Amino acid sequence: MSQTFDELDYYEILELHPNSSYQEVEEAYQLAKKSFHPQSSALYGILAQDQAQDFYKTIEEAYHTLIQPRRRQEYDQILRRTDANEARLLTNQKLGATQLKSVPQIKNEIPNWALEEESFSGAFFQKLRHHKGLTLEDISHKLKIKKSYILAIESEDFESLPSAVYVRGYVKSIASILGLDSEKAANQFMTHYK
Amino acid sequence: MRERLQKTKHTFAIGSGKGGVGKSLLSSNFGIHCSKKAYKTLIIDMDLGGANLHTYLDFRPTPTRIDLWNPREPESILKTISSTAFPGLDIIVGSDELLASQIESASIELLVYEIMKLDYEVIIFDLGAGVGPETLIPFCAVDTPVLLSTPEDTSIENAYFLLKKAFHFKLRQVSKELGYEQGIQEIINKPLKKFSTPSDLLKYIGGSEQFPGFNSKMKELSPGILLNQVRSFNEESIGPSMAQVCRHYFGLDIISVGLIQYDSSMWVASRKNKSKMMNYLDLKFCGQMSSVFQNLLKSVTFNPQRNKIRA
Ligand SMILES: Nc1ncnc2c1ncn2[C@@H]1O[C@H](COP(=O)(O)OP(=O)(O)OP(=O)(O)O)[C@@H](O)[C@H]1O
Ligand SMILES: [Mg+2]
Repeated sequence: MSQTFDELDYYEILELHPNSSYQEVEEAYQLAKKSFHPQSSALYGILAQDQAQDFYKTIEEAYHTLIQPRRRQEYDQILRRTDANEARLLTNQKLGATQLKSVPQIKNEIPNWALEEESFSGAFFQKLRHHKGLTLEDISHKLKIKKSYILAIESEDFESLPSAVYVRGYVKSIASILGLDSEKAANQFMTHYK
Repeated sequence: MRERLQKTKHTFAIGSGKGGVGKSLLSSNFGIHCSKKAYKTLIIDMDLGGANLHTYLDFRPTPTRIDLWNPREPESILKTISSTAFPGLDIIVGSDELLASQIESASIELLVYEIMKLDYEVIIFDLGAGVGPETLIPFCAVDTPVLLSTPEDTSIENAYFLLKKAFHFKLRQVSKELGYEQGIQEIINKPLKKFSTPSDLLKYIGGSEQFPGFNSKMKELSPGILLNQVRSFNEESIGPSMAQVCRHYFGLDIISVGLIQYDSSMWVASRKNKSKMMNYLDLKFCGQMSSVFQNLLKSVTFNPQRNKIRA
């Protein structure tokens, strides 16, 4: 557990109400990940690198506990009778430490050449993906989109893709994982599709 | 339609720690915005070392300035006010004479409270760079302090520095006001208990039950974070992230009040008559600015969008 925010329970860490829905847990996790990513510029002068790294791990742990119904129930029960630190230890004792899937670390920043992009072609997505050191597997695993679809989007092989609504959704997710304005990127890409 | 403030007067202070990030540009436009919404508005240039707010309002340097105020005659504050070309908007023009006269912290405090007593509906302090008493006093005294930053790391760092200073200033103020000076000092100096964050300290004080009312007084210091000169989509999340980091670190109800993009047409626009300046600026920039101002006017009681950390 991070030393800095030692006494916060998982709900406080993600700024959630104890009755929050799974959707809310997911959204809170996305925000917290951005804020406390060790590379986040919002941490300048507040947390040292190692503190940030520790707290980032705690955020992962909080998320993986609150998003799994059985784990969350167990945690809630223990939290009712003890403090945050104990609750974490006891939950891990009972159910084993959270299996944190190693999510590929995605570089946050967008290179200068990509900032000016207007057309958002398949080739552009591919170039940016390579720049960020992400493989097709990484994206497919994270977004639950078939590798062949990602490849078809990148090569604008529209024959191999399902209908436009799906493609738009895929492109949005891909753009968002690459750190782009997903709405704008999807709109632009879909002009090629037609 | 005129937005409703929930009470007849609301005070704001715009600070940043770092210089040149847009405090005066935004304070002056916020003042204009409020006066157009028919609020009787006063805007004060507290940048005692580099007063230039008047220029943003097309106002020539004038002898009617803040240094006409005399600490021994509190009502002399009335002599410092000028009206502007914008109906309903008055200004107190800044001056370095006040600093040159070696004014003490106690007098600055008196000055700020005299100004806040004046008969206006909206009062806006445009603060200088740095963390001197002329910045910390108004920042901690107003209803809504606004912490301005750009996405640059140096600007973020200085904004946090201002907030840390303000936190300690407020801590001393509140301890004194509630008569807890000795007790709070003892906690801070405890050799065995090290507080890694201000939030830890507040939690400890809240938990000790010896200092009723302390934390709620501290929470009066809950700035809105405003990110200016945003240049890319990637930077758009910085304001909300800073607010979240601050909520965790300071334990105060700090929220993001919006963002304003960098507008490259500013250098052309700023050469025009200020009342026409808006016509030369990017539409998106103007839209973002007015949505921030609307946010601020709604903000009499700030509520973090998210469920705030339980005290
Ligand atoms: N969003 C923006 N886009 C383009 N230019 C901007 C923006 N915000 C501020 N500026 C420009 O930056 C310069 C500094 O702004 P301003 O004088 O308001 O800063 P300040 O924080 O008041 O500085 P000081 O600390 O010296 O008082 C001005 O030329 C202003 O026009
Ligand atoms: Mg200024």
